[in-house]
Amino acid sequence: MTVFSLALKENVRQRVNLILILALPFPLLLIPANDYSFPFGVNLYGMLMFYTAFLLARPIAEDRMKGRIARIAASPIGIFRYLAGHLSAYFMLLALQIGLFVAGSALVHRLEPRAYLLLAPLYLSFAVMGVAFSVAWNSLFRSYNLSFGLFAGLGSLMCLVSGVSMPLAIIPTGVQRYTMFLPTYWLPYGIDALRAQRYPELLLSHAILWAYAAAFILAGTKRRL
Amino acid sequence: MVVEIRELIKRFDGKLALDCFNLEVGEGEVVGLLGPNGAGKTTSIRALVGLLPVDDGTISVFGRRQDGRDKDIKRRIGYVTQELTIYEDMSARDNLSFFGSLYGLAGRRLEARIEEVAGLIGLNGRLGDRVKTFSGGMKRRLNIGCSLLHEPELIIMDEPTVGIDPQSRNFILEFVKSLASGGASVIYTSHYIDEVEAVASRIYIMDQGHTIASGTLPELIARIQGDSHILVDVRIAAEKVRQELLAVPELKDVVIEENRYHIVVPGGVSAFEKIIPILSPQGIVNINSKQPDLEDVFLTLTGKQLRDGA
Repeated sequence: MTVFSLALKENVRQRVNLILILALPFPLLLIPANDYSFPFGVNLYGMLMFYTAFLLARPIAEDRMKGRIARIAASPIGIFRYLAGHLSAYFMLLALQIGLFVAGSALVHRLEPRAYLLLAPLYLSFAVMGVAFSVAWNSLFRSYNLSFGLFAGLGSLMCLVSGVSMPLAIIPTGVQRYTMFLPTYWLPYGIDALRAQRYPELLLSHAILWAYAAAFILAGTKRRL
Repeated sequence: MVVEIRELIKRFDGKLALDCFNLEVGEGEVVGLLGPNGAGKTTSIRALVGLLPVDDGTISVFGRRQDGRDKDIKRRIGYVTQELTIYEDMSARDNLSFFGSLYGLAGRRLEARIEEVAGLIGLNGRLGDRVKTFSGGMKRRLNIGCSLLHEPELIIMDEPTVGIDPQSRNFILEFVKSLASGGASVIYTSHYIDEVEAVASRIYIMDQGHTIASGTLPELIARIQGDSHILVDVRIAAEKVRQELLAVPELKDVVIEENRYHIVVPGGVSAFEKIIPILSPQGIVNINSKQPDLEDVFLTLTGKQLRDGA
């Protein structure tokens, strides 16, 4: 059993993960459209993805918290292969969730096809950032329960002020100046850019999400064994 | 030499965890590291496995410098952690399969090794069961088994019997001996004297980060000049009789412990013929003779009993 298959198996065993991936994206499709943005479910799905990424990243956190990482580090497998195996398993599950949501949105919202072609990669970039953020966040704690408890509050707050769970348009500009430092800000920013067909800004949101992802992965794997 | 550690120094926040620690392990040898908690056993093991950078000194494994990056060294070591580092939500087979694959085993070879190791650790009937349904002893055995799939030449066991029942403990001790008879070198750390006595061909006694003494058990006992202890239970012990015993030149010391005379005799000296006539009028109830053991060695060399520090 490879690292990838172990990470996949560990996550698929959790019923809550299956519900998050296979069922919860669909109620978001019922949120109606408005005049100034895509149907808000398109934004709000980012919050679901952020929490899903956090729960999927649990095995890597538990390997460290339960001391298994010491045994793994003593084996000839390199840290890069270990991380790659885990992250690709999480990413695959998130990609499945994204695929289901985008397909559902195409059926329900019937936006122009090009929007979906650009929206799916933006979600994927956000998913990568979400997993990386979870790895870095978990590395700060010795207990997963404490980490999750604090993340539940912090994640909601981040999503709220950065326009994921509340339209960016109704957040005061003064606040936006600060919330743009939050990684979650760059999903609604990219979605708005996509709707307004401001493609350089869409590319900017991709670039910043990946930069955050790289920084979080580095921070999350620096911790002493 | 399979392992050679020279003058190892490791500090945590300025505090010495290893203080010029030395260790040598030969081929097919079982070396016991004995010391109380905090003696530096786990630190030395983690440095040896390559998980912990050291501040000074050298570690050589299979004749190569261990810096934690040499994959060939890692491939030849089996590391049994002190904690249970297995996946409790998975089956025993999944655990063995995963840890085997970390060492490059795959396909039929991996399957064959899983069956073989499961047999060795006595879990062949339970391979499909989830680990969380196992007893503490079974989990410990699986924890060991996960380190053996790749047939390591050096097996490092860090307190592998913590928190298990005596039956499982005996199983593990016998198993360690069988590993050594199969040609593997074993480093076995423990703070249980009887375990180290039972498995190790050579013993290192550690305290406060350094080696206090090392050698075979007879060598270590010889270092403390091998006093023998004779315990004589009588109806009523009396100070006057103790003074009479102390007047016997062959006896080193006599202590009264309730209705018992605890007599210390230098190694190799026979004193029974002089003790018995003095104690007979007291009404001897029982006589026991205790030869010095590893606990006495530890007590003599460190000035404390192992369990005090454990």
